[in-house]
Amino acid sequence: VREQLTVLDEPWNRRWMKPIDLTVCDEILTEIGLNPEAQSRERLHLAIYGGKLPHYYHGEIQRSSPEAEDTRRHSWRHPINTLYSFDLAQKYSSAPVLNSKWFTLPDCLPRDEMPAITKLERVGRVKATQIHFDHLTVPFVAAVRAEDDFWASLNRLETASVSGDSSGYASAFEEHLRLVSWRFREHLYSTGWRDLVEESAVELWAQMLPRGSALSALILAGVGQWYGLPWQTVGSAFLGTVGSVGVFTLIARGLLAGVKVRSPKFKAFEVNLRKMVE
Amino acid sequence: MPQHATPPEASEGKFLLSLDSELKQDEATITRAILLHSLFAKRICLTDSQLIDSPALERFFRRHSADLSAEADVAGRCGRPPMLGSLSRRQSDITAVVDLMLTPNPRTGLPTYFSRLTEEQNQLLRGKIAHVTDSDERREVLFSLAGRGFKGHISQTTDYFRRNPLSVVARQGLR
Repeated sequence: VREQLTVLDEPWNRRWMKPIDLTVCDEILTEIGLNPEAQSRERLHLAIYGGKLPHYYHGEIQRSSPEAEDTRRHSWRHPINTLYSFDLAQKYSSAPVLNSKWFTLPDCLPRDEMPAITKLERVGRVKATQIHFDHLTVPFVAAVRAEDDFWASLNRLETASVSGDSSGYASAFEEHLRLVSWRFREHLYSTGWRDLVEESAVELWAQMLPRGSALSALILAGVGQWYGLPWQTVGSAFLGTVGSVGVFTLIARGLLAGVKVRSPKFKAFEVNLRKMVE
Repeated sequence: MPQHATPPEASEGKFLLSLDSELKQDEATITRAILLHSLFAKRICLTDSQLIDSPALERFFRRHSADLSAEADVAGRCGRPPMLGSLSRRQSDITAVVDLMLTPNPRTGLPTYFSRLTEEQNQLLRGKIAHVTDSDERREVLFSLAGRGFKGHISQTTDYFRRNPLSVVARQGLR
């Protein structure tokens, strides 16, 4: 978090930040600096609110103040949580997955006048059987994971994901998608739901983001919402770390039955963090 | 391609951001996310706070207990990781995680705040365990506030992770 906020603290970023955002940013950095070894999300939260920390219960903030300053402070909470989670995931070599409509890209970050810095690009197209969530069960997943073919394919996918070759990763993903799709087709046949077997063209869209910046983390967390992806795309956005190039987002569009994904907005992904990655 | 001093490692699994204890969750979404990503990853990696504070994850564990255990056993016999993995500070011992969270922080003198409990319940918990040093007693206080189902969830998750040693993901540098 400190690494990311330090970048945000650069003069060219500070000049567009609102006073309360500057205060929050400074307070978080000060708190981290007091004891860098004692890593705790609660410490960061306390710094955001200046010591008066409202808590959550079942996803709802409790006793939050409607005052503008408090609302502004509150907008920092999920971004900080996201940065913290990304860091935690990296410490355990696991890949953060975007699968939520709940994340809100904070309004302290986007700015309208900045040019687009990222674009989704179509990197492949594959025929696949659509996944119906009603028939996606633990026993089915367990059966697929018990197969040698599944692990061979997954290992190829993992190898490709660290190769730094995004096209190789997309190819390995296509292959794995075919395997999963074929198994789901067999599953529908064997359980008497052959009417649901529907081949469709699944499009793979990719987004390459700069490596190691807050931008990557925050954009990835907010990208689904920004591109108008509904929450049902849970699982249709697969993230992989592609070597030294950056964070690679792969979205399989059309894989999930009953899920309409609106066309990506190519022209704009306006985030006022561009200079952080230059 | 730029060169790294150390090559990046393959992923140990997926980390579901939507399991954050401060986000609104529902069981259907969590179930779909876990099942779908289990088809594209070694395992779904779960943190202490997700395991303790996510009601949706708790319901998923409870509802699919038998199937999850069976899958973990089969995977273990084949030398493969099960669907769900632990990133816990106490590896497979989720009861020990609860104890850790209930131990007063030396800096604040307070135990961890549980977002699965209301503010009033958290205050009650803190008051009741303020002078309790025995970890079993502390745990029972928490269980009495969180509901008996929570006690079952803790033992169930511990049992699940112990079935297959490959469920535990070690922190980088600690392997």
